[in-house]
Amino acid sequence: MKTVKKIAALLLATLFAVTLLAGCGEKKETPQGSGAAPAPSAGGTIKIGYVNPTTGPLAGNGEGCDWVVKQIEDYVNNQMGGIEVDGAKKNIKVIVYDSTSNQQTAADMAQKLCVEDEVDLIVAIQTPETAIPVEAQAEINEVPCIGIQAPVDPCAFASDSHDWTVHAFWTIDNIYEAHKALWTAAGFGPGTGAKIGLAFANDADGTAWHDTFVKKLPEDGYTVIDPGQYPSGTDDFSNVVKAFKDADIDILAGTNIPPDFSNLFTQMQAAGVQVDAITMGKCCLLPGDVVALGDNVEGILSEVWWAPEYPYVSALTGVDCPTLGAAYLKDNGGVMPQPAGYAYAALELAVEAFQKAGTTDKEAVFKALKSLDVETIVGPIKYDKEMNGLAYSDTVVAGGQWQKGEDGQWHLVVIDASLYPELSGAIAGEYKAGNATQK
Amino acid sequence: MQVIQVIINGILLGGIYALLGVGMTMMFGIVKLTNLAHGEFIIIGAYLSTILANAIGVDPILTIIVTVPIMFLVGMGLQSGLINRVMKIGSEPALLVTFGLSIILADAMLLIFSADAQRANVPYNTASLRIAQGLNISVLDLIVFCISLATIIVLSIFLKKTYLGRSIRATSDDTQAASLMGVNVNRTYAIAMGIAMATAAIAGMCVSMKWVYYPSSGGNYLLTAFGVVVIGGMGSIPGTLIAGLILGLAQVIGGANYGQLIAYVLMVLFLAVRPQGLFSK
Repeated sequence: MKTVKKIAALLLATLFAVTLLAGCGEKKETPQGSGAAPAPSAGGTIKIGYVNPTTGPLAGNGEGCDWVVKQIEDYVNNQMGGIEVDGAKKNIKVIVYDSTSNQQTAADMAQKLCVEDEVDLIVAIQTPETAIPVEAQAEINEVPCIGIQAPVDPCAFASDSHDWTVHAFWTIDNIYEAHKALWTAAGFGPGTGAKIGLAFANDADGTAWHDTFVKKLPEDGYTVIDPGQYPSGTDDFSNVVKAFKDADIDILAGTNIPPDFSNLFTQMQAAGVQVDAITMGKCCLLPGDVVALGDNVEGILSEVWWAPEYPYVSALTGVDCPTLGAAYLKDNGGVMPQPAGYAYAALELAVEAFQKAGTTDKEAVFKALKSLDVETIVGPIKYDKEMNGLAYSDTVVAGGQWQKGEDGQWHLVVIDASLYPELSGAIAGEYKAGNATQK
Repeated sequence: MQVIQVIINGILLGGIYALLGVGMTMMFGIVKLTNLAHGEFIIIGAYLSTILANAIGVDPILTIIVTVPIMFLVGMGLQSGLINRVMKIGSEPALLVTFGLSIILADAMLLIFSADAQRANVPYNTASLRIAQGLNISVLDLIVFCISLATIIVLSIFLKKTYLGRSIRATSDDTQAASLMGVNVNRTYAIAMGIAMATAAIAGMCVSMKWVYYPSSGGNYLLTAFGVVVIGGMGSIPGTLIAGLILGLAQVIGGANYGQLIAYVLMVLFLAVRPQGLFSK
């Protein structure tokens, strides 16, 4: 009996060890994305730090990171033969760590990149939860930082020190306009007096959206139903649902992580609260996130910041959006997610900055970065605007709606490009009422 | 009417909170083990349930016919093959083993199921019963509450009325005396872990229907389970139910805005005023 138990214990221990090893690989505690990196050219490599939400509730935003890193590394190291800096051609190496969708871990990983890995530049990307702590570490450690794919406002006001950071994405003012265009498409334009129920968490992102929406909605003639902000991960939304029901809201607007929106929406439906339109940021951008909503996703409106149908061409690689999207589809079997487009742009900007600086000297790299004026896969980037001392570049945004495609899958179809008419070519449908929006 | 609605919602939410904590309180009370992997056990239960329901095309509730025995056996194997061995050295190494186990399981689930959000969509998840004007009861919440209540009652009867249950309680009260009376302590511990895993399978099934979950969601449910154990008292099954209801009501009364805050303030107050919990000796 004892022998049997010993064998069983040994087997269990082996199983756990194997799983642990596999798990460690996924945690990305070790540098990756550089596994097949060619031998560095003379003088070593240029190191780019990248904190990615590979796991946790924001993991949908981190999807495609490894693939994008490989594309840029392959292009620079193999096709370009490296970047000429300080008189020698150097390869790039992108070191990716997982933030686990946790702000503290994001800060720890960014610090590790700056202090232990001594990266030459760091990328702060994918929602304010990841971007803000990474940008803060870049400032503390005086490392040039490319902030991208997190609304400008929460990043700008998270700190008063932006000496090493530039940022590119939309402002909350712009996203408000994009959502307004979607309400208009649904028949609730400004001045209609439509009652808009707000659902925002009390994190940096939710607060920035909330403050702008509360200020602007009455100016545009909408009635605001604001039950107050709440912590992410809330299990029960009874009081929020009651406020919406009492007011008989026409539109639900907000930005939430998938569990929060799903909980709220399910409770609303169970309580018999129906709306005419839903505009929801963050949780309704990616197929992986909306699959949990089932058929209820039909008709939900959200912003589209990048799609393979967009008209831009990367000045660095010469690749256009459709080509990049097709390559992603071929390698990964799915539509290239919006955040992966921004991941590509972030690394394009990093390479452009080193090329322009011609050195890895951090001050020179930041100066070159700040003066960039280039077209990337997500559109033109020029850091000519400023918010609370943060130099930033506006990026484009269109409006989309979740509709079922001929393939039977849910797609975020571009239905409005009124803010940036150059995106009109990406429009693939028009507003349709769906399961989520049948008052 | 609004007050009644709040109380009903709080009680219904409390039911699933109690179910989340019942397995953990058993391990606390009987094995004297803080099982930090309990949240991951719940998520494994959720995945098993969702996958089976989708594969066979049945209601997720029916999947517990398969998942409960599987999880029970896995729990027994885990306790006999690993944790019992570590517990010979002391309870701290065992706690660390469960901590390691929680990381391993979360990573393994991530590898197998990816980071995509999951939910078992059932046709009645948005249905509601209208009791009176302005008074609705969510059908899903009611079903989940009934499952929680049934699980807790069955477990209480098992522990009180059966020989095995009595031997488990005897081990919980005095391990040495129970051992002298012929109770196989290691086997009892294995059964306790098996039961804890079986309740995690049921809790996971309820979680999969009620909330969106990820491989990394275990920590949230572990925290709720801790709250239930702290308030209810370690090892007390009825205490688990009452604690669940208290936490559920606190959550709903505080609303989405302050519910979490009130629930955790309550937990701290209980720790300060009655650290052994409501029902613990």
